[in-house]
Amino acid sequence: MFDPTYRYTDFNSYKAHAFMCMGGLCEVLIETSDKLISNQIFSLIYDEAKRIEKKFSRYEVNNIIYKINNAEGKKVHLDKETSKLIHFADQIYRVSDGMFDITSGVLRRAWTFDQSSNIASEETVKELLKFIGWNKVKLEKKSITMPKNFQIDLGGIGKEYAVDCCVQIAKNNSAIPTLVNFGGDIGVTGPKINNLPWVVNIEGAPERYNLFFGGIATSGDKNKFLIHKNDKLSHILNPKTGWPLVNAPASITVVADTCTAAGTLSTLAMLKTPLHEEFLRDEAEYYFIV
Amino acid sequence: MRNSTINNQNNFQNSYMTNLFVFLKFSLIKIFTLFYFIFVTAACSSMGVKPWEREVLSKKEMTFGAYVLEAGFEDHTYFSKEGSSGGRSFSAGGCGCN
Amino acid sequence: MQLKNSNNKKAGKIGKLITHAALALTCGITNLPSVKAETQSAKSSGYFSGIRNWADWSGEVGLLGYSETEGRVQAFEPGINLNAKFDGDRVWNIKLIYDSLTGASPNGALISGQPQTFTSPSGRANYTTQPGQIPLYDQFKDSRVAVSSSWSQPLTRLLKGSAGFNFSKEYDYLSLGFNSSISKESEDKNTSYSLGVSFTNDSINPVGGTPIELATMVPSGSAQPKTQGGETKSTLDVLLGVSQVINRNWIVQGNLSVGISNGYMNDPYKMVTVHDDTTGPTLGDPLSYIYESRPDSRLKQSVYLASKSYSKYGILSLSYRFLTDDWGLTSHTLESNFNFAISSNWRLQPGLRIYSQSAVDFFRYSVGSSETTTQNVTADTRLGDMMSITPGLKIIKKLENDREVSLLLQYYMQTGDKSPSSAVGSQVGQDLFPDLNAFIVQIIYSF
Repeated sequence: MFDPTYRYTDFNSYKAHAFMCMGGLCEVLIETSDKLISNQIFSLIYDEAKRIEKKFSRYEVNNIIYKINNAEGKKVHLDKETSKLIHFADQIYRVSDGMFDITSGVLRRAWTFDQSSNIASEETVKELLKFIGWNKVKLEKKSITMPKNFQIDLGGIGKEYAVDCCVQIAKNNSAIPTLVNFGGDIGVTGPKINNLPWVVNIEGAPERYNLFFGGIATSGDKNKFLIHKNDKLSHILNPKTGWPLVNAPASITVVADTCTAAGTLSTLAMLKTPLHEEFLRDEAEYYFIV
Repeated sequence: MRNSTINNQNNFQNSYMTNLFVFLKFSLIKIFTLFYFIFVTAACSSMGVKPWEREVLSKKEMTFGAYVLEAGFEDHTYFSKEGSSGGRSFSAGGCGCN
Repeated sequence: MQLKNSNNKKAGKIGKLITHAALALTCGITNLPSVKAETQSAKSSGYFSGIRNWADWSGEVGLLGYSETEGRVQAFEPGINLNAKFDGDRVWNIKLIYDSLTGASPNGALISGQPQTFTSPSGRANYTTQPGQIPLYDQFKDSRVAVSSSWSQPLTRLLKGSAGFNFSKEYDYLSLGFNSSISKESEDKNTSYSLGVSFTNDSINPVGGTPIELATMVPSGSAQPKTQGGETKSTLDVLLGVSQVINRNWIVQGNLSVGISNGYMNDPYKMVTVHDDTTGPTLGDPLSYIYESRPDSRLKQSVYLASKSYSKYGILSLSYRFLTDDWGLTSHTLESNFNFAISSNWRLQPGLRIYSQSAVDFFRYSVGSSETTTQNVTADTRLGDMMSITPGLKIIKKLENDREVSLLLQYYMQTGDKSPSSAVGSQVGQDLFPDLNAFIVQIIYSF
């Protein structure tokens, strides 16, 4: 591996591979004592994670995201994978009554969540709101046309999607139990050998969780917030007002059939603050709030 | 129910003097109400919300004047069966109703 | 640091949708379950997409159905209200309402134990009312079209202005008005002040001509005491309003209004019964009818207070209007409703309106034959002592993208003094202020 961030630990009955990707630490646990097979599976997962990172990162030049964000109002043709992802985001937009909006990323120009009390100016926020609004985007089956100065950001679903894709690849290529953990977003191919669960430590929870199938995702970041008077402003912004959610939970962790589903539900729950608990009670099968 | 007769002072009702008197008398109540409102709103600076506290206030049901057609239908119905009109906002146009 | 977890194994509707959609992302399933509504973001191409993309459109389309019991008046009113928003804060609004009225309205004459015959407004026919029945005249083909439009835009950072016109036409009535208003928000946007002015000019051309005030009704066939040429009326209204956010869940509003009207204020189709006031067996019987007469100016003033407050149970709206005018009328209007959710998409809003009014100074049930009537007089029950109660229920279904469809059902009940102390002779025992009850239905789709 020519990646300087790569770390490998051999625990005999299972192997742990780690590397930096998508802005955080990525871990892959493969339950086998066969080093060769473990490396083969990891190699496929590593390539897939890097591929997705490069394709959907907003920092890359000339990937599909770059083309969409710099199209200046012209129609951009979408490949099948990008089209499916964006249509998924479109569905979540509708299901969340517009609260989950992938055009809202431009608000980061107004907000710095450094635990200080530097709140953004109303003027800046108002200006930025003019370039936000998924309903103004023309999305067709194979193309997207965005108004000028609009930007999309798939950061909210990209990592969970990568987890699910990597898990799928592992499943397609072997029956060996594999767990993928990209910065806290987790997915498993299935239970460990002898039908034992993967025991997961959810940060902040007193007891560990036994994961047999599916995925886990957490939304929230206890280090990114602002203080204003007696309110804690979460780093999750309301795309309709441009302002942060107030006194939202520090984090919401959801377990679901896929990591993408878990991530979407936990983000939606956050956006429904202060009614997040009701939402989770109704919609999620398993959740933790901190 | 009053038992008014035609022979009361009706002929002064339409004179400017009585009009002015009624206007001024009621004006005092009006001016008082207006100043009370302005005082209350200006003095209580603790009233109000920050921009990020407007999730509830932005709901349609929490906005005055959000349901235009319904208000128009209702104003028209009541206006044609009763002696009062307006007050809420401007009514759009007249009819031969009252 | 609170921890909660749930062993709820059944995911809700949204949970299932997301799970299925997420699965489809990676497993290559092609049939995604679609949400049952049009795709807001997938706009069709062509001419209409040009119009749709030109501005941010919103508005309402609806229908009002009104039906009085005992077959009096029925009305059917489709209407549309459209807003086109440009660059977020410049708005063009247009509102169109078509009003179609059928049935019969009271002509002002008092109910009597005898049959009564009246001349129709055209002067060319008679109609008879049975004993104990309220005298009504046919509405004939009363349709009305009303159009209003306005433009509003910011003037400075905190100041907003608007100007508009309104126009309505029915076969005997034409109204044209202009209005303008200015509003200012405080720095923190918690307070807003507004001042509006409106000026309207109405032209009335009653069927058969304008009756001469207080003239006695003449049977059909003979020369009618009416003048041709039509009448006019002009109105100036001023409204001053303040609205204030109290806290996150509570907002209040207060308005002061003054309105001055000058010109033809009568209802040309209404009369007043002249009853026999000689002691004896004919006391109270209707002898003749005179056309009503109202002052030629009216000064109205009102105070309106409203509040909207939110709680986890629902939203409570309350309002009160106090109105007084120089005709002697005073009224109180109290409206309230409570809006709450019964499921994620359905809401209910029960409501109640209570209205009470004290009569204008010149209201009479009827006038005695020996009185010299040279002053204003009206028997129009709409200007009498009365009260009305309107309970209602609105059923709302919320759709995606802030759209909703609603059904409002109301029952309007108006009552007045059926046996006033002024009743004499044969009038005593008659129901001199028949109840007015009406079913009201409103169906509105808003987008």
